[in-house]
Amino acid sequence: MKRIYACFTILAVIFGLAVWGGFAVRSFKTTMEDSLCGIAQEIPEDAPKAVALAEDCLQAFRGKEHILSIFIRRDYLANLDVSLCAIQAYAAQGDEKEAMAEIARANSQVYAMCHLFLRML
Amino acid sequence: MRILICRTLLIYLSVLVAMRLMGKRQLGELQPAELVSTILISNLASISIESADVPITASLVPLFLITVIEILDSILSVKYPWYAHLISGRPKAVIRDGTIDQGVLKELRLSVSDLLEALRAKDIFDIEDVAYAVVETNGSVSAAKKAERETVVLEDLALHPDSKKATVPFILDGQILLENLSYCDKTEVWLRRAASDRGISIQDILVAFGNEKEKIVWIRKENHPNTSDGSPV
Repeated sequence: MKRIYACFTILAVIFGLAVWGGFAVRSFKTTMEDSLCGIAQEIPEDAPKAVALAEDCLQAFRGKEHILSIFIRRDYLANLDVSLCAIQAYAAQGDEKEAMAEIARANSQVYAMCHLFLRML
Repeated sequence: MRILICRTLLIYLSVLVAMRLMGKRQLGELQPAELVSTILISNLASISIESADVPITASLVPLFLITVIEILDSILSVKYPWYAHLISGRPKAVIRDGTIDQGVLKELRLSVSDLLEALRAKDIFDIEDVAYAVVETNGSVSAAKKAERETVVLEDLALHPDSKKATVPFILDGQILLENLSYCDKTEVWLRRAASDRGISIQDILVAFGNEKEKIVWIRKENHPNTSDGSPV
């Protein structure tokens, strides 16, 4: 009967991990969407500010990457990292069109990543 | 490379823990539900070892979830027979009084040659010798011979065996097995004295077995310098 306690402990750990993972991924999605939206608004108006925001966004992403890699495939995270770096580079060059395209790409990656983690089937 | 080493170790230990939790049922002949979980676990374990991009939780969470399901499944099967029948099915009698039940054989999609093969594995070559044979839920065949075809045992001949207890090992690879000694009402002191009477050190013994009688069969380690041929002493 000791196994039943082990069983419930494992269930509790899995449930806890699922709840924590869901919370972490949702909060990451909100942060990234807000940041990307902010960058998109600043690019046509204030390029240096957009570059600073892109840098903040990249640092925020890298700060959470190790937690996200517990739940999300590393290749997806690596692709998002590349996109965020590209946004910063295009914004610094003043290449508005490319920067906006990369923002759209990053948004879509964040959406796909979170959708993969949070969907039921 | 480090990630592969760490993941392999972690997955190996996790699968080991999972199999231990599932218990000895998992190591013998498998019931359908146990077979399903074993197949799934073997596949899941390899996912995150093969691909470093996949998070380790992609293997560990399903692995332990399947373990939990398997444990709950076994607990429910013990507690509720109807559940066990639902999950594992029921044993089916295929031979009664030397006659094959062809309907059941058809239902089980088992050919006569499969049945004969299973019986031959049990040293039964004539179906007429079988009083009752069932196909168990794990697919194995169990057979009881007719009383007149059963092997003669000492009891049938009104003979009494010298020893009432089974012959068990007392020493394995130089290690004394106290539990077995206690089963045969012997002590470690008695064993050590018996060894010293024969001029053997316990560490030099590969295996020594006996029962409640005084006789012990000693087999020395072959590569030991004191040993000449490694044959029973």
